[in-house]
Amino acid sequence: MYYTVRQGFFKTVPVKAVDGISMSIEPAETLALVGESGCGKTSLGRTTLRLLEPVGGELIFKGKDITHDSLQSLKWLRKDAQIIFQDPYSSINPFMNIHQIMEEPLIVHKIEDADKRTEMIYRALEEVRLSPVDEIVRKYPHMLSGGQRQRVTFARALLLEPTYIVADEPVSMIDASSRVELLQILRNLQKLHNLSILYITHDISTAKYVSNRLAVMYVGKMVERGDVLKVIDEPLHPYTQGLIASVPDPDPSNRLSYREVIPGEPPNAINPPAGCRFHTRCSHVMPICKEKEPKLIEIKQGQDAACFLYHKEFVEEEQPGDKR
Amino acid sequence: MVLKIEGLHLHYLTMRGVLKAVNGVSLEIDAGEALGLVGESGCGKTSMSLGITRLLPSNIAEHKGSIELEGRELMKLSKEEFRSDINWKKISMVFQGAMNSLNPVIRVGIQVAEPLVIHEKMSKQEAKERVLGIFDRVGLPLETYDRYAHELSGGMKQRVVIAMALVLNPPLLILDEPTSALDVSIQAQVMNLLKELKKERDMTMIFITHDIALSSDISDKMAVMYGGRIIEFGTSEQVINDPKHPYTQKLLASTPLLRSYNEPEFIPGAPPDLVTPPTGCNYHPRCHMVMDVCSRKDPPTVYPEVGQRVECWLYGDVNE
Repeated sequence: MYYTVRQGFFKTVPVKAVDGISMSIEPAETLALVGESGCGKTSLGRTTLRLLEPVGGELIFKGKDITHDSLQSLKWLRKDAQIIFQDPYSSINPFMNIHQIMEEPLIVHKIEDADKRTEMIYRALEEVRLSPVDEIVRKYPHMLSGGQRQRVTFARALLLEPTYIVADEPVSMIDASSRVELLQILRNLQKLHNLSILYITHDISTAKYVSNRLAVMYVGKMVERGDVLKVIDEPLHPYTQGLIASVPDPDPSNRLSYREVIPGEPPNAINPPAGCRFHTRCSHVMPICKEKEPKLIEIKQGQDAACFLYHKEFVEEEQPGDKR
Repeated sequence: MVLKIEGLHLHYLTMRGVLKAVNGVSLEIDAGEALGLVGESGCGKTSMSLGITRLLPSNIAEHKGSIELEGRELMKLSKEEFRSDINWKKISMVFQGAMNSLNPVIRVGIQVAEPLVIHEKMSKQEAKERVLGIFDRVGLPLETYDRYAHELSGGMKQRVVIAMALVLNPPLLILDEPTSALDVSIQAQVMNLLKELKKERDMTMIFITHDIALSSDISDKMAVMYGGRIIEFGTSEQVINDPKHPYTQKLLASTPLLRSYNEPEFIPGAPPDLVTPPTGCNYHPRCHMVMDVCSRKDPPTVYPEVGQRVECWLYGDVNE
């Protein structure tokens, strides 16, 4: 076990952004966190980096409990755990050139030797295939395309040789045809550096391409989790099934029929429905779904779901906190 | 035929020179058809829609060609005539991110009713009734009429904008990335709505997107744009199942599939600089099937099958 998170409500105004999530990420594993806006995936990602402080539960990184450490004492974490943001236009400083942008974290973390810094910068840029490097470092962000800028953020995240990276929608603002290249770079970097990656996205098809496991979130809860190919091929939770049905593959026959949709809109996280949060939109809703919350438990080998549809075979009592 | 475009050019004047965003585009759409305009950012697809609806910025170097809507030549109309006769009545646009289309300080119902009062001279009461009818049709609760834009979710705002586009029953609807800002489940709902409306009202649509999978969800015909030109055109079956142009092939190959296994390929390089485009074929620097002639001469327009059109030397006679 490498990195465990158990969290209760977060924030005193109870916007139940992340509501009782238990999960862990293994070394050299990419876990995709999939969900729509408002499900809490970004909040969860940031909490794992202690950019936000959990209100309940524990956050354990490489065996150390960092749940409530002061930010001052967490400087070491900033080297070991990094983040890549969604927007390549606002996550790098437009007034600095690429060399300066890449150099900043190295200076902050006291890499004193300027030559050493340059060497690290060049190596990182080569790894993300931004070349010729000596031309790139002199450019300003506005001279690069969105995809190139995003590669700069990947390279910057790698400079301090982290073990863990949160990639929050890294390709959502990039053109569809350029996404694959960026994701391939991310995959290669992961293998090369043995990284653990939390890949946050609303696009389940890119999740399939980069990750080993997939976790689906809905209004603060984790509703399904497992091996990425298994979850996509045989989704258990009705929400996961609906999500997958909503996404088209290129197929000229798509226009000839209506897509199966999840009706209605996602509920507000301030006042979520009682019982199972998805019950108001679920076509398989049963009376118990309106009263009790289903727990996330293993249904099949390597696949967990939180849904009463699968509970007839299981005893409905407290399972020891699922630590996967 | 509802729309016939021939030789449309839209060039912008920029600090670096003339940018040929739309560089000789021709297409035809029949009544009740949806044409999917597909391409990466910078290919000219949004400029196409602006060129048709005359929502032009001030730095235009060139805007020429022929646009025939139901037999009427639009390029001959004055700005005033276009505004009074065409906007909302004959052509409506739905943009990405409805926030751009909705006035934040006026209740949305009134905004949708506005074209009815101005163009059709309806009374406010009549207009309101018509709007409520359309709101119901697009799946909005009737009390949405009195709401402000900020009170609505993304999906609801987009439905309001669709209602606004439909309120005068225009024969042609242009949608530019109408679902990009929406969650996938809401996107699916909106796409279903568009399919229903298309069938019910026999609507003709131009659906612009960079996502070819999404385009296949509604388009009967597809036009793939690259560097300001349509480099492939055909039915959705032709373009997706039998793509002729190397770019189209790569575009399809770069889509990660959900329902089957593929190793998506990426297209190396970047879209061309439309101020100083490459010599010969715009795509040749990135083309996996490039030949010698491609860098020297513009590719010919070839018709490999009935209704299919491609601009590529692979299908042309190199001795032309």
